[in-house]
Amino acid sequence: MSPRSHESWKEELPPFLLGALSPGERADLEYHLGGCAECQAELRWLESAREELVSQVKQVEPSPDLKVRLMAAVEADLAENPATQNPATQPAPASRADEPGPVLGSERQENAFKAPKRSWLDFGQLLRPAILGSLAAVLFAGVIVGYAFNGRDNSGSEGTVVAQRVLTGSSNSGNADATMVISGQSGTLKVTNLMKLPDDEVYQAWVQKGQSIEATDSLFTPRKDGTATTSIPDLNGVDVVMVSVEPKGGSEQPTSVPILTIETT
Amino acid sequence: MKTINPQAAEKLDDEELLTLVGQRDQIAFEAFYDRFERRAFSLAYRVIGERSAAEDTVQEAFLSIWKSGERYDQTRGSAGAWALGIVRNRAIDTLRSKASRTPTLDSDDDGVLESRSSENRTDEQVMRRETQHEVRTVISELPEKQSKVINLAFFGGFSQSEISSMLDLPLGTVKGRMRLGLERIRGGLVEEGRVNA
Repeated sequence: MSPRSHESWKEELPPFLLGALSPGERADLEYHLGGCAECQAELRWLESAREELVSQVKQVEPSPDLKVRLMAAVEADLAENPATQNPATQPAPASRADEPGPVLGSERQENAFKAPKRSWLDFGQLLRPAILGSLAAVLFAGVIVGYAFNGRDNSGSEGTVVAQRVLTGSSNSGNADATMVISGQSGTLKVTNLMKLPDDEVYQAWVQKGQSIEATDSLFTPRKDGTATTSIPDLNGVDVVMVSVEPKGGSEQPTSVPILTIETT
Repeated sequence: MKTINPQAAEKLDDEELLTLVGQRDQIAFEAFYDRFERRAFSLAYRVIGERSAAEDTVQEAFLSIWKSGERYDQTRGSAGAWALGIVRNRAIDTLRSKASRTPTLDSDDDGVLESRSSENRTDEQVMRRETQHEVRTVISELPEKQSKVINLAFFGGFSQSEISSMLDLPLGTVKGRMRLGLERIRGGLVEEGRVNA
């Protein structure tokens, strides 16, 4: 039997999008799609039309009970199968040892998450009074040097992220919340509830690799609603992302204690 | 377990929320559900044509998302399209399982348009329903030949082979009409500046 032509596969894309292929036809096409960039592109091109079909459906309100029932079912599921602790949001690192990786992790990633480690947040909490007292750069550097890794290899390879992950972090002072979406080697940091800064100050992101702290070009000020978004282009080998308040134009070394910390490993 | 707070969840995009859902973050799940509740229910209702069954379907679909959010693969489309695809497929399953008790054709309900399993619908019934209750959507601006096959497939759950038999058309013609219809819809979106050419 001769192999199917590429055109014949393309003909299957519209019925595929509309859910009109038989299970066998669908499986065959999905197999082809896995190795055909042209068909993948064509599929994405047509996808917006299908989304339009959904968006044009006459909108009808469900009963409020629907959400109540759904969330009750979710609660019940959580009670029945207690959630795997979310490493990204868990404040106390000591209990991480038994946790699996967060999302789509390779075995290597999962092992990395199992490595117990201390967090910047711990130091931040201990130093909160000092933060309020505007600790000097020397203290910031001292804290960084004091950061312990329990013998973990920080050569960088373990920190490599191959799938998108969402991490959350907390502020060491104030009410700011941080979320970082890691995709491949880069991350997008989203911060909420940031305090407005004087005109001569900016927020600056830093990355910690092993015991070294490196400046990034990510300087930002919050929008009127206290939110800010910035990117961290290279997270290879990064263990912690931090944000501190710096003079306008940024600094080469941190001059204040970080207000936010997010562990990336 | 500590989860993201609701205010922070509101700032995340759909894909980011779904990633957190994969980590069993209840707040992220609720935020994700809130964004799609109305569209999901409307889609299920459109397919099934009964409120209670549509609500059950949406609940099942989102519970499935809660339990399988980790399997979402963003390289295969947006999170919203993925979630609504699950709702649509569940709705079609519900529709098929309800083959023995189908809604009446003369209902004014838009959702009843294709609400019959293929086993229970005659060609005549389908045609009658199509002409009686044309939906005022982008599909209605398509040539009837194209809108018919798209409606039967997407909202009716008919396979291309079933549509071919039902309309007495060659299979290639059914495929062609689906393609032309989707391309025309997409062309409209380009004209409106909603997607890139």
